Amino acid sequence: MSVIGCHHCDAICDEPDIPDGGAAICMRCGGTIFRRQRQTVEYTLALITAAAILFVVANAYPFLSFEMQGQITQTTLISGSVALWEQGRFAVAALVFMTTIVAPALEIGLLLYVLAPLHFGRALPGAVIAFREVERFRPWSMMEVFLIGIFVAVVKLADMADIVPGIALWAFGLLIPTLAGAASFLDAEIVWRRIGDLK
Amino acid sequence: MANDEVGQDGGAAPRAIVRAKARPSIVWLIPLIAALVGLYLAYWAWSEQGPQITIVFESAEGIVAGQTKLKYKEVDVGVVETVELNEDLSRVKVTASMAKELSGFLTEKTRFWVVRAEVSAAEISGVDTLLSGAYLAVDPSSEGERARVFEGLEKVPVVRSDKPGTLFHLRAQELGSVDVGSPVYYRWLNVGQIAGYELDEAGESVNVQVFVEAPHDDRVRSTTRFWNASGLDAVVTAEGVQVDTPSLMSMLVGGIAFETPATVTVAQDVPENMVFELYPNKQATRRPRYSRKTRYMLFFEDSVSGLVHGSPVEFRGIKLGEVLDVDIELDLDTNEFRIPVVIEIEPERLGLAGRDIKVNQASVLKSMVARGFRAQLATNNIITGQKAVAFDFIEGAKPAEIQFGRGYPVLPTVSGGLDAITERVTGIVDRIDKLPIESIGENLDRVFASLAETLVSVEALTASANTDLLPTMTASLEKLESTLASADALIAPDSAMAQELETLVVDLAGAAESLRLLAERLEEYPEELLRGKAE
Repeated sequence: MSVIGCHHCDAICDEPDIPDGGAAICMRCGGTIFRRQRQTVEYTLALITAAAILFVVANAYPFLSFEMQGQITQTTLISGSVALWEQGRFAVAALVFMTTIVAPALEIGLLLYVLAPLHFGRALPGAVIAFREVERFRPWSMMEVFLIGIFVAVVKLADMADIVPGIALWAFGLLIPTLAGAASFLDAEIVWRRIGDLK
Repeated sequence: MANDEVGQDGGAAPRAIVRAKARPSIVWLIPLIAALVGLYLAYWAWSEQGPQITIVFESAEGIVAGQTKLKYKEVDVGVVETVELNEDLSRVKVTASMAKELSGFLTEKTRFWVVRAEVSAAEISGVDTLLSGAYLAVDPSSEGERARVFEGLEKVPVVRSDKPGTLFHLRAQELGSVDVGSPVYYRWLNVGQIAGYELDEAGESVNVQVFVEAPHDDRVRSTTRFWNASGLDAVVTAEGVQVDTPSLMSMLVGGIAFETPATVTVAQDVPENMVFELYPNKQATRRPRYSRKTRYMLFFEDSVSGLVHGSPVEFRGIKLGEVLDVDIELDLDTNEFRIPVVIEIEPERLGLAGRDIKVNQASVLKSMVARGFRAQLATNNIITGQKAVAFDFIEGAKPAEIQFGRGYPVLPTVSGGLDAITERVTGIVDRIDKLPIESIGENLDRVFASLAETLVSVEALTASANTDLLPTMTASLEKLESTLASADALIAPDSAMAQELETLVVDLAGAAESLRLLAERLEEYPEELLRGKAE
């Protein structure tokens, strides 16, 4: 058992056993020392559920419509990598496909697979492997980078063509903070502990 | 509960307070909102989804999956989703999702065609597609059965539901230099386009469809005549050469013009399915032709020299049609030669016009043949020997019927040559037969009897003249002779009477002279008549 200090009044105390969803509160000033034990499963599950919905919307609807000289091109999330593939840039296409679709999809899917049963006090077979793979895939999920790339392109093309943002763009824009939120709420240690408890 | 002093045991640091249960998290609102929005979007997409259709084209030139739009009146009404070949690679299957608004207008009459930039002599169209790419045009129609699979048109149709007007059907011997899209003129005003043409089923003429835009389509009446207005129309008349020049455009791209001349037939509204004749030029419209033609075969036995292709077929001097072919064949049954002649008749000239003309024509002709309607050869021109086929009702003709089974119905004929003469002679003999020869003979007998009587009395008269008249006449003549002799003696130059007459004349001249002198004197001196001659 280690000793922890209050951020507010510098009181020193032993780190207590805190149940899930609890918080360590300074016995002297009443300030929250740390939220080590947030409702990590619930929060993350909620955000991941929202992210899953947004991800479906982002893929199902057109991302952007370019209109240039009467020629209208609609892009979806996947059409970017398809276009790259057709241009012969297979590596780039694969990378874009991996980072914008496969990695986020895996991250969302695996987290749902692990967290949803966990929330109801269960663990599905393979939950351990699944959760470990989430940690492995997360660095490859680069939707933010992709979004920034899109914005740069839009700004540059705005003078040349009419750009109509599609529903997917809004969904994509919301998906990124949602995923970021989910990632920050996720406390791997708790999840591991819960999985361990259930085993 | 926050500041409870706990954890005093063993001088160790105090323990923080433990809050056991979490508040119900509001974080679930986020997926809830996301789910609601997602559901709404899904519902919106589902409700906006129009029907999915398939259009079959010959070629997918310019059609891009996911990009090519379907447009009606330049408004997007759909987008092409896939372009693929059909099973046997012969055609292209284009699937498209249509706007919801059009779902009630996708019927078997709805048409689709590709709009590309097109440059023809008549017009340049679809220039905007040069940059934007081709698009599919839709001509929606709410008539007919609903359909989801369509045949795409290869050419832009002339008749569209957004362009009011009427389609008219023409029949031409030859197409001439018109093409689909060529203009239609009314008083050299462009009022329409040629919508299409095809060979008729029998291959005997060309059917041309002409689209006349509203309101000019009202100008087309039942008696309207259409003619091919391409090229020059030169006519040589007594007044010189008259050249009718259409616009330069129609000379280049061809065209059809129409006019409604004043005719015997009263102009009416155009009946449905009426077929107009397309005349080769404006001149030809003055000799009306009729589009409906029926062919018949005639068999002649006597010489048809002078009967050629194009010889007229007449009925009481009115041209009904013309001869198409003359041939000869041996009738193996009778071992006789006969001459089959194919003629073409325009039954409308006989007033055989009407809706179910085909039914009427047969029955009318049948009854006409029963009444003696026969064809015969007639010499049209004695000098050149040109012949014509003349129809007429021949009284007393042998009963005959229309025969079928030779490809053409065979109309009965009568001979115009020797047979006809024989027929006439027989007629004359018949008439002689009918003369009242017996009564004529009796009358003649009577005439001869009285004639004999007359002759007898004439003879008696002559005899009495010989006996009584002649001596008297002789005596009279003798007396006349002596009278003449004495008269001769009297007036002979050397006779006394002549001399006396001469003296008398001289005296008379002297008397006349003195009378003249007296008259002069009296005029000069009229008083001497009273007083006597002055001294």
